[in-house]
Amino acid sequence: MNSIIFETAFQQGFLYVFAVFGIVISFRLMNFPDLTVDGSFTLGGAVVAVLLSNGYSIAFSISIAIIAGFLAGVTTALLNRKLGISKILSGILVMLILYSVNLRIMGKANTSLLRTNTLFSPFESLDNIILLLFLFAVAAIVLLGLLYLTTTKLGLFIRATGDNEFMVRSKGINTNWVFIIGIGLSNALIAFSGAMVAQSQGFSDVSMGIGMIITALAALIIGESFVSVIQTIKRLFKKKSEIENKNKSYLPWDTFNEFFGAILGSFLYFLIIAICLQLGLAPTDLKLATGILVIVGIALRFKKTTSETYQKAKL
Amino acid sequence: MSTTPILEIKNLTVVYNANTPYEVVALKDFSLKVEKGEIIVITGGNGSGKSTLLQAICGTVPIKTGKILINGIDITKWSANKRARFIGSVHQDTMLGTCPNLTIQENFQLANTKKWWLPLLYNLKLNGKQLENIKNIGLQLENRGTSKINMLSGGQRQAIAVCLAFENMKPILLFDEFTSALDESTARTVLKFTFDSAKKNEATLLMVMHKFVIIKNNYQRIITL
Repeated sequence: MNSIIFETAFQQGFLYVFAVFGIVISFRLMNFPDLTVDGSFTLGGAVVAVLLSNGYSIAFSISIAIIAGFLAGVTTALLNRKLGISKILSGILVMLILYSVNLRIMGKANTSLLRTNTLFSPFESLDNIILLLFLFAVAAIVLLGLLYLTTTKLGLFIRATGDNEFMVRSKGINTNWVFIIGIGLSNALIAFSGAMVAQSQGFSDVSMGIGMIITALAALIIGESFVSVIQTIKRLFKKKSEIENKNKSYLPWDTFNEFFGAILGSFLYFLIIAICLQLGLAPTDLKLATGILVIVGIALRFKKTTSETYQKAKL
Repeated sequence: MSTTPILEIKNLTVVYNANTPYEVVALKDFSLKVEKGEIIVITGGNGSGKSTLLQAICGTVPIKTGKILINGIDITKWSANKRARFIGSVHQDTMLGTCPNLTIQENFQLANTKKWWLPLLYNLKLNGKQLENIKNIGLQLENRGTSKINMLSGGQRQAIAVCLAFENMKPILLFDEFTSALDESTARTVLKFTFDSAKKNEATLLMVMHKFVIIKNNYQRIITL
């Protein structure tokens, strides 16, 4: 096993981690199984590719991609909240609509960025480690932003709405707004991930988002399992009083751990995939392998535990 | 001189599964006037529409005909969260009143303000009044502010839900058989706390009760449905 595998896994992991953050917000915090992901990921890639190849600046193109993703999420939330379409179906509908929208945006099935200046062009002549450091910095900034969001009132409302919407509404909070903002934010992150991936691979393709939801979920499940293992090991070495003190922390550590798990899982997922490919897994079987990984991950939890994890495993 | 009643219900009719073979008329042509500060007990047999009445006032069940006025303002078409400006509620189901995956403290934060753009200084402890309220319900929960609600029993959750209803004091409180998950002595303590707090804040209290023997003479009116 050589270092290239690690480098590729890191690079891929840091490109896709934003999509996993998005999944954390929709699936975990808001309890909204949002299937818009497959569409909004491609949307981010399509918007950035078309804008960049038309000569717009990198910052502008990425910003518009993020806004487009946000609007896609808002559409899903509105379909669910205002038109009474179920959570799953509203996601599927927007995903389907976005397939045509993405084709409209690009005008064809794919757009090349090979001769266009992208975010990654300056790194082509530099050492790979600098690119990794840059990606790490971007991921760290987004992570800090999300951790900050978790500690705000809006963050509290987002978590509470996913937890018990009835109660939140009865306290006078308009949960429709919370849903719109939360799902919008989730999809904005996913579109950002799509924009980064498109620039990194040098093209945007209308089918680049297919199966994204499962990829992100697989990464998240691996990450969560890893974090829970780390916590168990930590607990073994800690005194009881220290654990009690930790439990008295005011910060929402569970949510923080979800985000940390997203980063870890994103890296580990691509590492596992890279290793499997090197061991002879056919690239066409990748989605099958990912699907099985998710099934096994959820099944193991389901077998393992308490009602709390049971609820999470149900998705 | 007659004053505007704080809560007025005019000819309220609530029908479940309307226009289907399973149609059930839960409330028919019900009218009620409630003055400020009144404590009213609503009682009646199972299925007589007690809970439906409270839910209709909260805005969680659709109304077929009739009007609901608070302080003379027609709120019939308001959403549940808009009505919550005036109405605090506790439901019979212990799972409804609190967010299970949030800590006690976070639940109090949630009940305290609805402005989402405000930053939350995360280390905010429960304030004196909140701690006193938790103490008064007598379940030794005052040192467990950072415990998650799902670590508590059903009765403890309900007691916290009662405390939450007195946060950010609303003029009208609707309590639906809220003591059914509590043991006898806790029920008495929580009821005493409820009456004391409601009287202190001059809140109007409508409560659905079966075991109203233990309320003694704290109520002003009984309505039987």
